Amino acid sequence: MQVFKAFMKIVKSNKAGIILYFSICVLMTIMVASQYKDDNAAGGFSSLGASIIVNDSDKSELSKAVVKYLKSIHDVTEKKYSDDDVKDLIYSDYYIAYVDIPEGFMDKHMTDEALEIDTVIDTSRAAGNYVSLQLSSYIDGILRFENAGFSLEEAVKNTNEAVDTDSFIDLKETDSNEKTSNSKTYSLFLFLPYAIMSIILWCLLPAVLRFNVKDVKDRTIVSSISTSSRNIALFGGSALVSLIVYIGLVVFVSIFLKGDIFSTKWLLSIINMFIFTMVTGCMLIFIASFPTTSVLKAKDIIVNIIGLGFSFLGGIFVPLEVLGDGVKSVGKFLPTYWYAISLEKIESGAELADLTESFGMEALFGVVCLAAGLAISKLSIYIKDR
Amino acid sequence: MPNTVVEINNLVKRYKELIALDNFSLKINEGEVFGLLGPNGSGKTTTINCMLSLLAYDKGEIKLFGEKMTPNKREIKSKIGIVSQNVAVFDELTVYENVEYFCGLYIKDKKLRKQYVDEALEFVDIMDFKKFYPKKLSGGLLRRLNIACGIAHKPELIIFDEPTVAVDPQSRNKILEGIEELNKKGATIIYTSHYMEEVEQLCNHILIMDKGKKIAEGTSDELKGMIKNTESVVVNVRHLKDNAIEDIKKLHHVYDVKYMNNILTIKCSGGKHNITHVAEYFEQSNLDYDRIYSELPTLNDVFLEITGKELRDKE
Amino acid sequence: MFLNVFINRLKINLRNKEAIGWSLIFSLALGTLFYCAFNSIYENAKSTEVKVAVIESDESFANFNMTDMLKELEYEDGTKMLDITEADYDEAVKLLKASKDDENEIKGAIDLRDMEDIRLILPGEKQVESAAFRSSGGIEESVLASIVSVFRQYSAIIVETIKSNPANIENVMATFEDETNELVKSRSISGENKDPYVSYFYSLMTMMAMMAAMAGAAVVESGQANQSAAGARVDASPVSKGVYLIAGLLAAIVVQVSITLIGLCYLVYGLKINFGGDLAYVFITAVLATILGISLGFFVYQFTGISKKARENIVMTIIIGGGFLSGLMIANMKTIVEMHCPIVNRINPSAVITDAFYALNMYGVGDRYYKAMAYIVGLTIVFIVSGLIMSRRKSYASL
Repeated sequence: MQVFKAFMKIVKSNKAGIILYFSICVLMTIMVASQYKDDNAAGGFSSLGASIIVNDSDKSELSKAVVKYLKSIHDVTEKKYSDDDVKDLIYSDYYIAYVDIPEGFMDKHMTDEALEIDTVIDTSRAAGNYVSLQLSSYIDGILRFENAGFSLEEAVKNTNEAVDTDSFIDLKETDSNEKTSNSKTYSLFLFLPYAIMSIILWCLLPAVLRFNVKDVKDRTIVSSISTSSRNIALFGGSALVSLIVYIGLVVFVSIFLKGDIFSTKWLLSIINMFIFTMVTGCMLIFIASFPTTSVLKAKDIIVNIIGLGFSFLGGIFVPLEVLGDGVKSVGKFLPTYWYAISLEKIESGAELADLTESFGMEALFGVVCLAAGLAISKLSIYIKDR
Repeated sequence: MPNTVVEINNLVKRYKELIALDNFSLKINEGEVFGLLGPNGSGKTTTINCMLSLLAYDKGEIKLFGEKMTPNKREIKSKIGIVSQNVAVFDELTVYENVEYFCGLYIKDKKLRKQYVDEALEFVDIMDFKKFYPKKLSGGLLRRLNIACGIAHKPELIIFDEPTVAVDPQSRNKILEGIEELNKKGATIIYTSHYMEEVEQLCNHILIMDKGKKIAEGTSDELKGMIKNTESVVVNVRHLKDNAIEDIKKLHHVYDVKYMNNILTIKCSGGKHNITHVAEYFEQSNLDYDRIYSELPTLNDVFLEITGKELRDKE
Repeated sequence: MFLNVFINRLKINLRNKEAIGWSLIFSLALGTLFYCAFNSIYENAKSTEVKVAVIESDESFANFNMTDMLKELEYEDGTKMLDITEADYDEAVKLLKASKDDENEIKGAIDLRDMEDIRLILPGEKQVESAAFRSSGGIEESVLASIVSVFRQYSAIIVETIKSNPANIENVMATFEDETNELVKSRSISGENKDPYVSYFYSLMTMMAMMAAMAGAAVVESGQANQSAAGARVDASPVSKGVYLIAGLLAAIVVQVSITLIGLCYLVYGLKINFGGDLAYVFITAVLATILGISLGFFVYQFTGISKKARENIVMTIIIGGGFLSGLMIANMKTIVEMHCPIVNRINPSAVITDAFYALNMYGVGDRYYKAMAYIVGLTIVFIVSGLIMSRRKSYASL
C-alpha cells in the first residue's frame, strides 16, 4: 500500500502532462466531429467533391448558374480572400481551388472583351486540375450552345443535362471493394492511440522509473515489503491510471458520438481501444526495464518519438491508404497499424470473430514488449550479481 | 587586536511561519578556526547562506572583511571559499576539470590557475584520480574533490559546511588534518558540524546554536566551564538496589545519579578524586562491580545541560 | 573567465551523451519516418494519365472522330489526360473487373456506340468522400465523368441543332473546330515545393529547435544557488552573473545548433527533402529557431518561484502544445487556427518558425519571411535579456 500510495502521488505530480495531452485530444475530437456532415446519400455515382471557395462578384444569371453547378458537386464556401490567404489555404490542402467570378462577366462573355474567371489551384495536382477542367468545360458547353443559337437560359438547361452524371454513368459490379466514406465512430476513435500513448507514457514512465532508481529500488526491496508486492503495487497503480485514462477518453469521445453509442461498432471500437491501452502498458514495462538514469534524462524525447512515430507509421494521423507501401510494411510491426486496421474492419461491418487476426497482432506487440521487458530486467539482475 | 573577518548582528531569517534565525549574532576573528555547532536544523547552513548573500534575510546586518556583504560584492566573494554540505560538482567533468572550472571562476591567470589546481589536488590527495569522472569516485574521494573545488583559489576565509557527513573515518581524519593545515597557512576557517568531537578537536572558538539562537560561545574549555558538571563517574554494576543509589547521591560533590541498563552514571560538580570516593563506597558496601571509570564533560554535556536534549540523535 | 566557463560548459554539454543522442535520434528517426510516410503521397496526387477503354461505334458520327479528340486531351501543363485502350464492350467490362495489381486495369470505359447517348461505365458502386479532400482516390473517375459530359454537350448541341434548325448544322460543326473564348484562367499557387506534406518536416525542424530549450534551462540551473549545489558555488564566486550566463548560453548554442544542423543536413542531403526556398535561408532559419528554443528554456527557468516540475511542464506545454497547434500532428491545424484565432499563430513560437519555412518556400525571401524572422529574433532577444535581468545577482528567499 505504501508503494502504491507513493506511486500515485508521483503520478499526480505529472497532471500537467495529462491536461496537455487531453487538451490536444479534445481539440482533435472537436475538429473531427465538426467536419462531419451526416449527408452521405448512398447509391449511384457522385463526382468527387472537394472543398472550394467561390467569390461571385457578378451575381448574374450566368454566374449564379456556375455557382449552382459547382455547389452540386463540391463543398462550396462563398467568400472573398486576398491572394496570400488563398495561397495559404490551397497550399495547406484546406481548399482545392479558389474561383473568382469578376463583375461584368455575363455582360461581356459573348464579346471580344470577355472577362476571365480567375481560378487559383495547384496545377501540379490532379484535384486542382479537375476542378478547373470541370469549370471550363461547363462554361464552354454553355458558350457552344449559345453559339449554336440557343438562348442563355436554354444553354444552361442543356448543359446541365449534359453534365448530369446520373444520366450517363453505368456502374459495373466488380470484386474490388472500394472504400466508402468513414463514419464518425471510425474517425473519432482513430486518433485515440496517440492520446493514450502520450498520456500513459508521460504520466507513468517517470513514476515507474522513480521506483526503479537503484537506491530507491534497493531500499524498497530490503524493507519488509516483498519484491512481488512492490511489483504488484507498481503494476496495479499503472493499470489503474491506464484504466482511468481509457475510461476518460471513451466517455469523452462517446459524448460526441451521441446516438451511435452502444452499437456493435462502438462496442468493438472500445474493445479495440482497450487492447491498445493494455499494449501501451506493456510498452511502458519494456521502456522502464532499460537503465533508469538514461531513460529518465530522455523521457520527454522518448515519449515524443514513440507517440508521434507510432502514430504516423500506424496510420493514426494520416490515413493508411494514403501512406506508401514502404510505410505499411514497417507499420505492420506496430500496434497502431493493427489498431487502425481493426477500426477499418469494424467500419466495414466486421464481427468480433472477423477481428481475431488484427486484435491478435495488436496484442502480440504488447506480449513481445512484456516478454522483452521482463527478460531485460532479469538479465540486469544477473549482471549486477556478478 | 586581530582583524574581524565575519561580523553578524541580530540576524533574523524566516521561512514563512518558521523562524530559522532569531536575532543571531556572531563575530569571527582572523586566523580562527571557528566552530558552529548545533543539531540538524538549528540554522547553521542558513547562517552560512545568509553570510554569502545567497539567501535573503529579514533583519540584521552582515559584514565580511569589514564591509557590508551584498550579492554584488565581488572582491569579498573572491576571498571566500565554500565547501558545501552537498557535493557540488559536474558529473560531465573529470576531477581535474571540475577543480579547474571552479577555480577559473576566481583566478583569471591560466598559468597560476593550473598551479593552484595542482596544489589543491595534491592537498586533498586525489591527484591519482584526476582523470576520473565523479561517478567513479567513492564517497570519501568525492568529499575530497568537493573540498578541492572550494579551496583551490586559496581563499582567506574558508567555510566548511559539514564536510565530513557520511565519510569513512580514514577520509575524515585526512579532511580534519587538511583543515588544520589550511588554518596554519593563514586561512580563517568556519566549520559547521553536529559532530562535537570534530569541533572539539579542531576549533579554537566554538559557538553552539539551537533553533536559530546562540546558546553559548567560547573555547572548548570555556564552554565546559559554564556547566555544573565537571566529571562523570561511570560504574558498570548489576542489580543495584535503590537504597544504594540514594546513598551515592549523598556523596560529596555528587549532584545527579542515573541507573539504567546496569550502568550507573554519577555526575559530579567540582572536587577531586571523585572516582576514588565512589569506589570506596562500593567496597565499604560490599557491592561488586565490573568496571569503573571517569569521564570529563564533553560539548554534548554542555548542550544537554543548556537545552535539556542531546546534541544529535543517538546513532 | 568567460572562456573558462564557455569551454567547460561546452564540455559538459558535449559529454551529456544521453541528451545529444536522444536529440539526434529524435530528428533522424522521426525524419526518416516522415520521409517514408509522406514521400509518395504528393507524387500520387499529381496529375497522371487516366487509363480508360473506349468502345467505338463502327460508323462515324457526322465526320466527327471522338476517339482522336479524346487522345488529344491534355492538362495545362501538357500532361495527357487519358491513356486509351480501344476495346469492344465485353473486353472493356473484363478490364474493368481486372484486379488492382493488373497493369491493364482501367478506371472506366467510355461507350461511344450510341453517339446520342455517350455513356461512361465505372467499376463498382463508386461513392467518394466529400469532406476533407486528402486522397487521390476517385479522382480519375471524376475526371472521366467531366470529359464525358463535355462530349455529351457536343453531341447534344448537334442533336438539338438538327432537331430545331437543321440548316445551321454546318455552322455549328464549324464552331467545334474554333476555340471558344477561354473564359476560365487557371493560376497555380507559386512555391518551389507545393507538396503540403513538406510542412511536416517544417514542424519536425521546429520541434527539434524548440527541444533545445532544455539546454537553455540547464545553463540557468547550473548557475543559481537555489537550483543546484554547483549553482551555489557559482553564486558565491566573484564571477559576473552576466558573463557566466552568456558564456553558458553560447556553449549551449554551439552544441544545440550543431545538433540541429546535423538533423537538417540529414533531411536535406540524406533524405533529399525539398524544403523549398533558398537553402542558405533554410539553414539560417533553423539556426535562429534553435537559439529561440534555447532562450525559451533560459527564460522560463528564471521563474524560481515555481517548482522545477512546473517550469518543466511550462516548457513542454509550449513545445508540444505549440507544436500541435502549428501542425505537428495534423498539418491542417495551423490553417484551422489561422481561420478561427489568427493571433495564436502570431504568438506561438512553433507556428512562427513553421511559417518562416513555409514563407521561404512559397514566397521566397520576402516580407512574410522577414516578418517571421523578426519575431523569432525579437522574441529571442526578449527572452535572453529578461532572463539576464531576472538572474542578476540576488539573494534567494530559500535554497
